[in-house]
Amino acid sequence: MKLIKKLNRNYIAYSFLCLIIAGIVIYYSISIVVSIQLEEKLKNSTLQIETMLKQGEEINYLPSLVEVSKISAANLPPLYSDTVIYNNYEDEYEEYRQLSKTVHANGQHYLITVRESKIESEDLAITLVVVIFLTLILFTGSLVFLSRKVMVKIWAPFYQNLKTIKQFSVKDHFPVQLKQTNIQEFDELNEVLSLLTTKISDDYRSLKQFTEDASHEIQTPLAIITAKLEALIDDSELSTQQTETIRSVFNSVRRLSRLNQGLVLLTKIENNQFVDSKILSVNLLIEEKLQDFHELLELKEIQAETLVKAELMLETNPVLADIVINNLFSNSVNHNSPKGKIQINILKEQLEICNSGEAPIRNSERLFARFYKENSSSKSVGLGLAIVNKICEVQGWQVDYRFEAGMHCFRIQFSPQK
Amino acid sequence: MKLLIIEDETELSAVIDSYLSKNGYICEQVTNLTEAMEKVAIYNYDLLLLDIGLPDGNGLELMKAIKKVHAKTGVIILSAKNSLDDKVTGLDLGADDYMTKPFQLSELNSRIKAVLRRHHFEGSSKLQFNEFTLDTESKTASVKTNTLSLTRKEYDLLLFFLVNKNRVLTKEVIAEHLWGDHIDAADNFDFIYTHINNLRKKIVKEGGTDYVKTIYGMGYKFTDL
Repeated sequence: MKLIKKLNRNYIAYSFLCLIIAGIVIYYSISIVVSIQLEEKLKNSTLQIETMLKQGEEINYLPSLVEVSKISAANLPPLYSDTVIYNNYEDEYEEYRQLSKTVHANGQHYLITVRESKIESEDLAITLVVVIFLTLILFTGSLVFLSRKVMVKIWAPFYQNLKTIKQFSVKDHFPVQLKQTNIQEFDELNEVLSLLTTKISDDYRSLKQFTEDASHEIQTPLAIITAKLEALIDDSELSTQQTETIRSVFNSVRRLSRLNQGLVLLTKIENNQFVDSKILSVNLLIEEKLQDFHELLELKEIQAETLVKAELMLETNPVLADIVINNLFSNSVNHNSPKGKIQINILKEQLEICNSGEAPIRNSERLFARFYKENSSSKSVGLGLAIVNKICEVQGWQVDYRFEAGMHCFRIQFSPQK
Repeated sequence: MKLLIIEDETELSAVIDSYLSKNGYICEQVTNLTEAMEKVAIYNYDLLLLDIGLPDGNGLELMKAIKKVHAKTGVIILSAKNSLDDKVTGLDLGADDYMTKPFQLSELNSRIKAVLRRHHFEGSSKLQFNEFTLDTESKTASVKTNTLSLTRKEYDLLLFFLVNKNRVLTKEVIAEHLWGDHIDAADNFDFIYTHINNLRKKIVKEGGTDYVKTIYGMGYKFTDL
């Protein structure tokens, strides 16, 4: 929910609560004032009647509103009470407030009861409450509306800066340009963000530099070792034992350089250094790969089958796509059973590469981890699937593994194309 | 054939020099960009082996210079940076090939030959060895007058052998040349044996001599010595 919306929602909720409370308070206070007024009026009426009685004047009875009756003897305090009287004309009961008072005049005790209809006073109270209430609602409403207008204006530079930051990429060589807001908090935030993004860009650049330097520094000595060993191998004056040793050193060096290249590649993928993308056909890539591996499959007596259900087009970096397919494919060749099978399924947004195997992977959750080896004696570098996993992560694809009907299956779910 | 090796690691350039000299190339070595610029200005080279990460500048500078003066000079970039940008820039500027360190000398030799062939420095696209003739343009091979019906990889293998004749090629190097990075280092390379045997059979069937010698514990050597 947007901040403005949330604030407004809170405003409205609180205003509503306040309005209800205010309404109740107003209603009761007006009722009290009105009833005090009413009682005052009743008191005046009784006083008037009392005076008239004492002067021996005739009292005009007004049924239900003024009643005067003679009583034997009593000296009760004046009593206010509510009563309901049936109205003949309107055929309904009406509420009255009454004041009863005993009066001693000319040797006679009287009971005076004066009544006043409460309907009028109630109507007055309600009218007042409604008018005040409506004024309050109008007031709150315009406040909410105004605050929204003001807030949109205040937050506008914030949203603009947010947009700028969203477009920030570590690969940019210039720091983010944030707009001045003249609001202290926002400007402080901008300052921090500018610092952070500058630092991130710098770190990214030095990291990139480091990976390149590291690879450079390691590859060159490796190149020297490899070249010298190769020259040595050519020397036919070596004993069998020496050749064995040299070959073993040679292969270890090759492994080391593969390992280094793999790690450098992983860092590059992590750093999002493969950015150019183009539209390519996975079907075509698979075909090429099958062509490439044709002799190898034949020599290893591996049967490869492709099931094409759809033309799978991807908009992605061609190098990354090739690495993913190549690693999965060579994986399925290298870890196949003797005279095994490879089954490739190309679906609408899915690629599945399966190969024969005896048993499921024991630690399948660690299968995509760096340097994971199912067989510890294996001389594999253990980076192929880690690279596949990293590429999928960066590209937003899903890769998973399952063992089904004697087949190791790797499936990639490509994200839906826009 | 005259080659200029521009590489700041003298150890590496020395071993490349001695390897290529054995193959009949005349090699010269320089260690920095300034020297390289001077050499290139004075002499004519058929091919440059160019390391782009030089102490006094980027080797790509030299690429631009050389392509203006001697457009026919072949250039193979040797780089420790397996950087796609450099590769693309290098090839765009007119480099013939790009190799990432570390590389196999036999592989380098193959690439040099391929570049020289492409520039027709060696007369034609045909490669001759005793009774073998390989046409690198049509990618066909023949023994005497009989055409060998080879698969693409078998042809590549024969070409690799011919280019690196009299040299020991390990199974790993052969496998990597043919399948590039597709081959996992962990794999055992016994299938190379089958592959080579198929090639041998085809050669013998068409009346050729089997020059492939097995070097025990090492690999293979294509030799008529």
